[in-house]
Amino acid sequence: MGKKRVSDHLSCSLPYWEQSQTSVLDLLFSDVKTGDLVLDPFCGAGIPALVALQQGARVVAGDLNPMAVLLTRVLLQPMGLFALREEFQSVREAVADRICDRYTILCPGCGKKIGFEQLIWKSTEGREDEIRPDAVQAACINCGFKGTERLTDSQVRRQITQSRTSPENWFPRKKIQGTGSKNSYYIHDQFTQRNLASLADLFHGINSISMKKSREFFQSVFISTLFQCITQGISGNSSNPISDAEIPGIRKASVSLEVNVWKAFKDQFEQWMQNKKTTNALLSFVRFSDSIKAFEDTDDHVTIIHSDCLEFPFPQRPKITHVFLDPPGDQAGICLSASEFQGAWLRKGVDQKRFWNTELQSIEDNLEPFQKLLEKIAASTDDSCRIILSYRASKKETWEALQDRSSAAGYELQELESVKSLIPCRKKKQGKTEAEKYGFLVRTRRNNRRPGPEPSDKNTKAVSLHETQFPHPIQSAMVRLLSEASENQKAYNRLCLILLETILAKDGYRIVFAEPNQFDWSEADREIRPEALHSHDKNFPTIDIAAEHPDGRQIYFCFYDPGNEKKHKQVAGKIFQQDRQSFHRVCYLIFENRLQMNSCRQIEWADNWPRGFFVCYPDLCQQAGKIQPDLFRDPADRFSKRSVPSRKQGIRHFRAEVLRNSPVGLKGKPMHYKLEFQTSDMKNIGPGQFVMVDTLPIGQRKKMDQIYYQNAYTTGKNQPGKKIRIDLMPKSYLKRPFGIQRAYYHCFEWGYHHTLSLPPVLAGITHTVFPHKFEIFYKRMEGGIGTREMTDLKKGDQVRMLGPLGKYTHIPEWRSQGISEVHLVGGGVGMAPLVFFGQALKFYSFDLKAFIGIDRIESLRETPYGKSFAEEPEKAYVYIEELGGIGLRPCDIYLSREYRDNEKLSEKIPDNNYHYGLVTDQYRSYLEKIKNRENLMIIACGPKPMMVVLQRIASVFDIPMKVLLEKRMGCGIGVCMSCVCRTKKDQKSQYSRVCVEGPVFDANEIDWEKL
Amino acid sequence: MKNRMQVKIKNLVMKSPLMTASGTSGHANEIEVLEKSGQILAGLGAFVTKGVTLKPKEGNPEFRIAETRTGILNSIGLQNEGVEFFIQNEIHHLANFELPVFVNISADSVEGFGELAAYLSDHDSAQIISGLEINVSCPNIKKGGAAFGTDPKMVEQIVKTVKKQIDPRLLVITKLTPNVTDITIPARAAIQGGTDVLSMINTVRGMAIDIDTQKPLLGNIIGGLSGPAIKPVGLFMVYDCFRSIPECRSGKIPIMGIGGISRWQDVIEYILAGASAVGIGTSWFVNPDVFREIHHGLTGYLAGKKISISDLIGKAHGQLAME
Ligand SMILES: Cc1cc2nc3c(=O)[nH]c(=O)nc-3n(C[C@H](O)[C@H](O)[C@H](O)COP(=O)(O)O)c2cc1C
Repeated sequence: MGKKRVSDHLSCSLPYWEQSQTSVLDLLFSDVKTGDLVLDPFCGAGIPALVALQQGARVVAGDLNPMAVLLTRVLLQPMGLFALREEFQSVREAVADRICDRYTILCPGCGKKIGFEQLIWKSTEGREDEIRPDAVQAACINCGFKGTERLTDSQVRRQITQSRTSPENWFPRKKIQGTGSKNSYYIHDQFTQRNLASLADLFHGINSISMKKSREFFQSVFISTLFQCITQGISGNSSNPISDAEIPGIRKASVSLEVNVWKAFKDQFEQWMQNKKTTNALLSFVRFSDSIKAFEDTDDHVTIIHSDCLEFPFPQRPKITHVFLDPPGDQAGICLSASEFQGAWLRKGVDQKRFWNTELQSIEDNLEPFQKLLEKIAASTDDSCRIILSYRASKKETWEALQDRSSAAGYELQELESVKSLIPCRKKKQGKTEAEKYGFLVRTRRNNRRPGPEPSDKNTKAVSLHETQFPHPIQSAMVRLLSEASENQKAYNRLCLILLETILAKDGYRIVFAEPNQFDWSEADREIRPEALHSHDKNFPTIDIAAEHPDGRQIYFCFYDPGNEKKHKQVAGKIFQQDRQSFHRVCYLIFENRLQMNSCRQIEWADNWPRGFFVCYPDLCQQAGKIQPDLFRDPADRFSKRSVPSRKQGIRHFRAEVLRNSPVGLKGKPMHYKLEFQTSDMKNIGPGQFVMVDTLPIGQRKKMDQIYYQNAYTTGKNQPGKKIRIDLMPKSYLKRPFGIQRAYYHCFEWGYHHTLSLPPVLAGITHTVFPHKFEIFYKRMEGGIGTREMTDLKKGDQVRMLGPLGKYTHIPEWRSQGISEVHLVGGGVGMAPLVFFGQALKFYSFDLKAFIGIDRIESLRETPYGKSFAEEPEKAYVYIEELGGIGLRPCDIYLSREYRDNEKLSEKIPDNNYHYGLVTDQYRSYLEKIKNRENLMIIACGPKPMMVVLQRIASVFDIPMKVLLEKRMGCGIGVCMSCVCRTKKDQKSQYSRVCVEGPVFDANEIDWEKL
Repeated sequence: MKNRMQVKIKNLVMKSPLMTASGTSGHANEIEVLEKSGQILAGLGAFVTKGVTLKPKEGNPEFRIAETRTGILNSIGLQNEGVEFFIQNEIHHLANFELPVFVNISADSVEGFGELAAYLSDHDSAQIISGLEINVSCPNIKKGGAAFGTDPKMVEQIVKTVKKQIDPRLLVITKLTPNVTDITIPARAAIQGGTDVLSMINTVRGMAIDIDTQKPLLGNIIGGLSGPAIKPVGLFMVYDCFRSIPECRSGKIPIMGIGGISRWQDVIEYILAGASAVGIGTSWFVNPDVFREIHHGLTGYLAGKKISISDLIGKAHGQLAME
């Protein structure tokens, strides 16, 4: 499953939703997605709201019961756990000792004072109505005593005395209408004096907490403890209700087993902290609005309203997409009423003059408001809004009454069988034999009902609530396949085939073969007929799916079979042999999830799938969903049965090995260097991202530290004869940022991009083996310490790096913005990171043109001199070679130089593509010449003046432009704020950090005047 | 097993004496981008945020950073989005760290400090905070900062104002500037004002000149020097305060030592000089593993010697400390 399920974490400690029900919530909200707005007017303790938030929705929640509002707020608010622990400590110091003292006896084993867990009461012989403490359950940590111990007479007396502590200002004297157990009129009837006194102490201790948020947290823990105490039999069998006259006098304890209140609270607190830790992690982003107005005006995530549902202010903006109705019902399930927690605790009384009647006993009493509520919802939402009623109806009449009222309000009420079937296992656990009737209902608007077939097959587990809304045959097939996919390989295969078909069709490919006995063909009467596919070449390696383009290119797919690497190796090897350089036949391996895929993208695995490509199921879903949103709506969420979330690779501090560090350019005075290094720690580096490089090798850095500290600590001591050499050359201290010029992939030899042209839509989700070798192109700065040190790096040196840094640019998305051709415009070393961009762009089948601005051609020449470079024989030119290598044709490369020199590169670049002067002039005149300037994008990197001019050109020709900025940096991860550039936000100029907000910016974001 | 690293700052128990230094670990969850952030946090005893001001501050012009030998000059100029933004968008991330959090505050007037303290105390989200660090020592801003820090009267007044406005549960830490002749003068003033804790030092004033343009290199001309280069300065100032101020020596006013720490030995030095906790700043730009390495080194040292950090505080003063 993709996400952590809330139900996995929240136990039934909350007095509202039980665990058995929360699992249903995940299902009910499975179509809720980012940006949706969920309205939950009976929010209870907030678990439905939590589930919705977790799905990415915004939530308006409310309840008439102030307790519910409090519980919801506490549940959803991210909170400082540390501070809470501290507060707990202070509550403990203030009251726990006092409370605990009431629950102590002298240990029968060792005589020390110990706390007991339970007090057992018994009626005295002969006088049935008088109950006295009789025994305790205790465990002694000192002597190991454990068990039930009868109390001595003096201990009994002590307990009785202790019970008389009379709490002041304690529970409100208002009647509580318990709808479930009718035995007590007041919740406090259910407690002994001792427990009451303890609770009072605790309550006052909690109320003196200064921080509001902590206080609320403790109050909610307090309440659920209370609830637990009541329900778990601290008390409860007061047989006859007490008359008002007897209160607040000393009451007979009506209790046989009495629990240590402090211990109950402490346990509850621990559990809450555990829950809070989980919800904190899930909801760390959540922001609250304190009113509907604020909610509408901001993009806050949630607002909680204390209000009757009929007075509930519905938000006007944005549109409500889901309404979740979970009105309180009584235990017997015959009426819509109120929960027992009617705000009596904390003295938050309930105003009786509400629309929603909280005191009445039969269904009729609230049917009227129910209908009104539905009418109100109808008036504030449109047809696309989904309404779910969660109600436990045990009587047929109740159900019918609700149905009547619904249709009166213009809705149709249907029972959702599929949900029902999902909760059977829970029932057993709870030991209930009679079937609980939960009615989870979907409503259809205004008789506009689209009836959908109930799953005909009784055994089919209905997976989706939406089945009734999708009339398309594929859809219903998908629903069935999905439900089986996790157990049934053939169903899963078939599912992948359907998705692939959609994706490939977009690229002009057609499925021509699918291995007949690998797929579940039950729906085969439609789209694909296995017989029709069976025409494939028999000698071909055993693949699962084949697709073909009208021009003859083919793509093969195999399902990944863990442990069967040998087979994969054979298949891919064979295809590779047949295809070699041409890329007319490529093969893909399909993985169930990213985790699995990434483990096969490791360089060690590469030989098992020679020059193959990878896709994974979650990506297939997503891509198909983009193509046919109505068919594969929210595919990632809904079809994620098989996906496992990938752990995002963070920034690493790693070591890399230098493979080559060679000068480029003018003989005798090289200014530029190319550094090649190897590491397996930079897997997901994307174009535009960079690394911070420690310019001294690790060994040297260590030695320097050693010498420095030895000097500092030994010079004072007399050590004749031991001379210490101090290196007075300044050394670098910080790491230096460098953009990656190129990444090398194991399975692609240099130049593969010439022939590689993956179909663009499929390319958008294609993965390959992780890169393992990288290249940086840098300029030695005059007087610069870091770059000078760098030029001394030799093959085999180990250096420390930090990366990958900077924002990841999602290139496949550009295609959906309509971009198909990208112009790389680079000045000097600025071209280097653009080459890496080009490499990625080419992989995703974008068209490319490059404009290079340099001072003289000679400065690009890779001259074979210097020790480390001696084995490199040929003459080569940086950039030109690289760009050619990533698949640019000579005519796509343009070159401007500021000095005329004698170098000629006519065999590499056509003469027309030369220019003397600035690259910006060349680019402008190029743009003037071409006719079609649509679907273009510029990426630029270089000196500031160049970028400024280019930006003007781009805006004149109305071409979107990205710029890649380079700045002095301190930390690289956004904490030091050194590497800022001027940007604009809402017309206001501000500083943005290049290392985290960039280094790739949209040209519109930059404040060009102040740059 | 006993946690040898545990230290107590007033009532607050920290699981380790290591803290981030203000301004070097961001406002909130910035460091979580690192894959090993969990290990960094595990070694920390408290988190100190970047300086927060009342109104958003856009910071100083470029360049803001220059490298020196074993150190850096910075003139960030307290770029931040203001306290309101901090409370609304950033502070809740800090809850996840499960660490005591100290918020570094800065203002250009006495009232400003008071207002900030009041704002941070009153606000709900602020319950995450364990204390405020008053920054009267930033060399990079025109008004306030170190200009306040060098004037004992001003220091006293600021601390007093903050103390008056602040939730009494929160610790008040005063961060002192090294740009004075005698550090004990502002330190005493801060104690007079009622500070609970002293922290020192902030960066040392310095500059760099670009010989090509023949102009100052930093946009703000003045910068603050930090990193190993300033460790001896910071160390002595801690030592001096511990030696000459009775409140520090008796442990009533704990000192947080900051400045140039890059290895575990440096931490021990600071503790011996009289610090109860230490802040590490610049070093971790250079080596993101520094917290982990130092934590590792310290635990090894303490276990070998069978002592705790708290046994070492002020040990360098010999008998003096016992008086
Ligand atoms: C980039 C940078 C930003 C800083 N920002 C602040 C700040 O906002 N508030 C503050 O009190 N100190 C700030 N400082 C000072 C540090 O907290 C610390 O006192 C100083 O750097 C010395 O410690 P170190 O040598 O371990 O870095 C900053 C230091 C640096 C390098």
